[in-house]
Amino acid sequence: MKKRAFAFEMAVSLVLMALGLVLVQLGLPGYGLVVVAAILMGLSFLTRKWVAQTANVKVAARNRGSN
Amino acid sequence: MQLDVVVGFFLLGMVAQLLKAPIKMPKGLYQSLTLFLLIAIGLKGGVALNSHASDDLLIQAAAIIGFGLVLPLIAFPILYKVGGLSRIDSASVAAHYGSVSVATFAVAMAVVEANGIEYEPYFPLFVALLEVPAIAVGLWLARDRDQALDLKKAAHEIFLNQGVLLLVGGLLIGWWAGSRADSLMPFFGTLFHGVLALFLLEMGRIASSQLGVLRSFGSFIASFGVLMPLVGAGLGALLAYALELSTGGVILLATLGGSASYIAVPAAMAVALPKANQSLSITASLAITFPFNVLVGIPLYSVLVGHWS
Repeated sequence: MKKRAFAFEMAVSLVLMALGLVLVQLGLPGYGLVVVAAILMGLSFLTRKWVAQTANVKVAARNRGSN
Repeated sequence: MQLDVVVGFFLLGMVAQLLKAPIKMPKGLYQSLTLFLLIAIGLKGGVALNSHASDDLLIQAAAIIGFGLVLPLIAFPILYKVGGLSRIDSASVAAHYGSVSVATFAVAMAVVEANGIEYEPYFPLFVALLEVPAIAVGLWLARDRDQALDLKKAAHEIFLNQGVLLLVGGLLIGWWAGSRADSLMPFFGTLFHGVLALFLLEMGRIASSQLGVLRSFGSFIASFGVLMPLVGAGLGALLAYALELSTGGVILLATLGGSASYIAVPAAMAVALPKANQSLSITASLAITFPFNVLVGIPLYSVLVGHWS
């Protein structure tokens, strides 16, 4: 399920970026979509990194406790 | 097309909150501004309805209700199957995205009026019609055979919550009064943009303060909160073209399709689905979708509709 959510987030970011770039090419204001796509992509990676780090800290603390 | 001046106040509120600058609006004033906007939009639409009632309007109203029923059905599988949210949370968030935001509509109306684009003046009727169907679909999607739903209490919250009541009340009074409501317009008409600017200042602050909650819900809900407005706006624009609405009408229906409720639906869901995670829905609609629509969506819908009209 997590892999599916990540794929969804990447797909949304890429579609928004492509749409934004096409609009810019047509002389329309698509920069907003490009910026939003970049933010979403960054958020997607950062939140996963943060969750992984938090999990590692918890595992390390548990291991310390058992030793 | 440039951003409307009222959007500047939204940005000011957001920046002030991010910088932890002390802009504090009394809660009573914020609630008063909400009441003002709901009544003003309803009244204006009701006065227009008085002189524009026709058979075509019935067909348009039926199509709009159908639109309100379809939107949560699109949102639900994305939340449930892809996002892995629980059935109740998925249904609750889907109901928020099927319903509409009056504040987003007010911003779109300000943009359309500022650019001199014509629109159907009875549009607030569509706002009122789009408020309710999604709540009913949300409750149906969340149905749990083991748990009995207090229908009386739920219906009370669906039809008599502050948002629906004041919007429909304003519509009915405007419709009944017609041109006699002109005596109220120096207050509800002339002051509209100023009140909207103050309201958006506070909304910017609230939306910005909700951003931290995103960490708890992950990035899926952020992606959903950006994708769903674009899907809803696209479908809204297609429906508006099918109903042969004016250019302003297409922009407004696209905006309504892309907006998510944060006043009427949360009140109804808190009663009807108490187990649903309310902060998840509020974060998505208020911290993601509302700023996206105000800063990116509405200017984009306006330019695209203007480009293709």
